[in-house]
Amino acid sequence: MKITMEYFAQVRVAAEKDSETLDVSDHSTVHDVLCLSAERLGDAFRALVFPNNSLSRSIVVCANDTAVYDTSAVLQAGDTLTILTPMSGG
Amino acid sequence: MTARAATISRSSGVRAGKELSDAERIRYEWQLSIPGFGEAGQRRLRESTVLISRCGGVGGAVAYELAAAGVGKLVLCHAGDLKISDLNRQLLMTTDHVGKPRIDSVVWRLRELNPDIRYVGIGKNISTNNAASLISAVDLVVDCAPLFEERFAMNDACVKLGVPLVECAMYATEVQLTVIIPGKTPCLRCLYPETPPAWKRQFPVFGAVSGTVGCMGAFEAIKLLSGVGVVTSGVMLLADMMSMKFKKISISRNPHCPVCGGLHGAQKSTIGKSTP
Repeated sequence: MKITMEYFAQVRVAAEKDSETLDVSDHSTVHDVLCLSAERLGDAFRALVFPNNSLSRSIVVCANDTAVYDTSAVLQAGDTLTILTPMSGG
Repeated sequence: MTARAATISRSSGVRAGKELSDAERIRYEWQLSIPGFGEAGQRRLRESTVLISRCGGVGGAVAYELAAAGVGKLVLCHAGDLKISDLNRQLLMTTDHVGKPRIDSVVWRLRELNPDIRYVGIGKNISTNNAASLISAVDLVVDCAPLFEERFAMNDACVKLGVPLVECAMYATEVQLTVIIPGKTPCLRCLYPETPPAWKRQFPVFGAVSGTVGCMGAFEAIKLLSGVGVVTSGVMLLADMMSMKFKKISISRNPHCPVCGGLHGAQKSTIGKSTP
């Protein structure tokens, strides 16, 4: 099934793109897709999303524009997954 | 609950004070005709006290707009001396002020714009040592700080004291904006429980980007204080100025949040109408 990925802030720089369409297995979870993205998008992306080989607590993941805190949630065809990292003032 | 925070009504912002003077009617003439705002909204702004930390690229824009709009008292926190590399975005500074305390330039420039406002310049950044005492004396806080230690200190004190917090953030050409209403919306720790390990003090940004999110944050403050409009709470606005792509995401409270997880329902001080 196809899903849309969106990247914001530091993960966007690491991914070198702001969005893409992925073909993933049916019944994939949010965590599955994050792992797939980390495999595809390289070390800089992986270091932000999976520092120390575990999912970072400092990223916000949204499915269809709603933040999800349970990454075992199952995605459906046509869903949009948005990943963003924190920013600050200055 | 503090004396200041208790003056805020959820439906109508800060308590309105006495009638406007003729001089105030002239100064704020262009905004008094905004539907729903009017003289009552202006009087509420005049009765308000807002803390802004820091007053650089983002906070300088917030402070400038709130001074122009007539917020009665601004508490301004910013440590350190001005560097030449600050000047691509810190619009309350001037080149001839390099090497001198930033906060002096901030107060000077704001006073030039609107001498009728009360300014309290503090040459320190917010920390766990001073957050509660400073925030207990204001109606609203606008977080424009670059370091998560400062942001968490503000967030934790705002949640504890029931003071709304406008969160303004930027990176490169992107901005994030949300308003935290303690006990009602997610707090900063719900979103980011710990200091992001990859975050660095210096990051890429244009002044036009910091100014944009500063102006948006200032208007969130104006809406909260005057009781008009729809506040960006319970959602986060994401915008990329390079592509002009804007979107809102829905965010929710973390029931296990170590800071706000124990709060139930809205606090007395929550104000404004949240984004549906």
